[in-house]
Amino acid sequence: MPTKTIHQETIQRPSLPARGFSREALESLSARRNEPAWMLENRYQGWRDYQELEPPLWRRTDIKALDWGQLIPFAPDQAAVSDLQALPPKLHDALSVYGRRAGLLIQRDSAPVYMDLADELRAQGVLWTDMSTAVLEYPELVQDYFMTEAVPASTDKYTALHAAFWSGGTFLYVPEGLSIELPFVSVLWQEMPELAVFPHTLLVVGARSEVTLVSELLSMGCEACPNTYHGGVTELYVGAGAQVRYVNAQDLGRHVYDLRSQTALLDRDSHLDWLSVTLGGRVSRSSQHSVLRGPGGEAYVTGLYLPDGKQHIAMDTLQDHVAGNCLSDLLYQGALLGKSRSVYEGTIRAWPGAQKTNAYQSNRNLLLSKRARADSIPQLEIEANDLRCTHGATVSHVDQDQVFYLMSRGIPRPDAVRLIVEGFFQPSLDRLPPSLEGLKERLTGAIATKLRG
Amino acid sequence: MSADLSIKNLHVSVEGQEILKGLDLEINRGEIHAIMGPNGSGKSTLANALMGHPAYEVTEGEIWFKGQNIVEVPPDERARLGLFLAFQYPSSVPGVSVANFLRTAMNARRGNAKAGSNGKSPGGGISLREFRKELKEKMALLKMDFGFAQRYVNEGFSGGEKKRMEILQMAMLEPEIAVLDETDSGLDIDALRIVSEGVNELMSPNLGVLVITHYQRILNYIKPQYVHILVAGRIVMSGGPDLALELEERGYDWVRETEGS
Repeated sequence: MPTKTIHQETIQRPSLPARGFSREALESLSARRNEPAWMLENRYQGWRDYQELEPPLWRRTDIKALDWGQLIPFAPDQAAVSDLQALPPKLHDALSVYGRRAGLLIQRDSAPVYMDLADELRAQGVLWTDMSTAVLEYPELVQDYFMTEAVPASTDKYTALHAAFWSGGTFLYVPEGLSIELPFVSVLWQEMPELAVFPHTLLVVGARSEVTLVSELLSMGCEACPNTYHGGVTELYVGAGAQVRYVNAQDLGRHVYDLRSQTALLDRDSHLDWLSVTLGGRVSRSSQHSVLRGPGGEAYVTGLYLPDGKQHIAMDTLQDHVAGNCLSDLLYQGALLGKSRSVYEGTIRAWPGAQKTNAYQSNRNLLLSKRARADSIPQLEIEANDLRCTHGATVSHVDQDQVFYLMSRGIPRPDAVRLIVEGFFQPSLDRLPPSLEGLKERLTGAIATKLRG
Repeated sequence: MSADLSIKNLHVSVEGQEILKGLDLEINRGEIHAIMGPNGSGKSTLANALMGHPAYEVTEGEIWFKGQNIVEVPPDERARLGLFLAFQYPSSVPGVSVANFLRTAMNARRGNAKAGSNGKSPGGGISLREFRKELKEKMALLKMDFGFAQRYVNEGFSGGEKKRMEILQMAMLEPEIAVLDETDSGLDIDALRIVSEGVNELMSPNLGVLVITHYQRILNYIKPQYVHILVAGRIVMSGGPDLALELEERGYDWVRETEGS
């Protein structure tokens, strides 16, 4: 049985920090976390980068309505819970799909409130904790991997802001040669309106190890709430010969602006299966980059998105073939309702010398409303000459013959359309292993709920 | 007393072109009718118009079923009333399993249209246990492997598998009037026998069947009491089972000549 570890022994209830981002605010955040000087220096550097960098030029994604000066840079800590029953009902329900697990970490707003880790994994040297604790307890590892290679702080203005104000997040380190069948689960519950949350996910997997990590971003649905911000960064280090499955699912409220950068670095002969699901947020813009830096690496990348109403979901993927003899296979598929919009920008890059590359990219969009719009912008940057590379994008409507076929069996039109769209997503969801059957059912249910409107 | 299905002076246009030009037909439960006709005579138009395909516009006439003229009734409602069409070219529905599809359809047919499609039936539809039992029985009837239930609807199915899938749906949904649109096309003799035996097993005083076909072959297996010949959008001849044999022997030109004289 997993054991429970409560991390915050004393709970303080300080007043809210002032709105807006400043040097003083980051110093206050760092002091509250008792951070060492090197991390404070990291934050200073992030803050300097943030002030120097221009906002990225996004021609199709507009976040002007987000007033940065109104955001609260971090939240006071939450009381830890020892009993999952004490959590908000929606969060508690979400957790109920996870049966046996290797470890569970729950974060509310800026700080962790619950975590557990299977005893035998702890004994085998697996490190699983919230990011702030990792800074204090495993400083060498964090210094090696935190915003150094995968997502450097200066990547863009928002990653720089993340470096300055990151709060909470997930740290998982798996030593070499361990095969862990049960999933690690990390859930962020974002609840305070106008708050900016910057969780940092850092996964380091040693050579030949196998691990599954699920990262969920959830919040109350809150159409009328003032703008709230999520600025997450995810860094995955997949060691030589390691096999990693990473699932990130975002179902944030409609008041949340969600800007996320996610990068995986794959060493030789490693294998990554990465599913990214985007359902929520007012505006969501996420990157999903896979860098194949050792020969024999394989990245299977799947993205699934379903905006409705006035939601805007933008995604940028990179299949970066630095080394030769690697495979990347990407499928991004979305269905769009209402007046929603999606923007998919996908790049396959093969560096000079990345021979024998196999790279596939496919983006499929299903428009379920006349007023929805899907843009697809594929790009190839090929500097090797011996490779196989395909890419394709489609934007289509639901097939009316399929609808008629289902209706001819007594199924009403809205249910027929829903069934067809669920079927459209099914192959992506089928990639989830049996240990995540519960999550698959919940995602299927969440998709059905959105389609019912 | 009018027939269970009564088609009166039916005119149907496709893309502005009139295909059916005043078709009359009456079918009762317990009866098997065959409509035979050459290519382009309007056979598939009749099938699609009966089921309410939006591309087939009824410009004149009536279709009476269960006490109402269903010309303006949407296809899903027709199906729930007890009308069934076995498609000549059924659509595939990728990602939707045969079991999920059939259970959703059965719940809809049995008045639980709101029931969920992902294994739950909040509307109190058929229980999973009951459903599986029934599905197993009906699949055995059609000599289908139960593993079939987990495949995606018609995705990658052979011609024979598609037709069996259509009859399986008919078996599960228990319609009152079933239209088989060229169910024999693309079937080898073994598949034709299995499909036909399946239909014969399903025959009862509660089921009326309309077999639409170009060739007489299927009528060796599914024996109609009534045979109608469709030429250029109208039924030009009706008779007993012998008419099909005579037609097979003499060809459609004979009908045209007889009609013309």
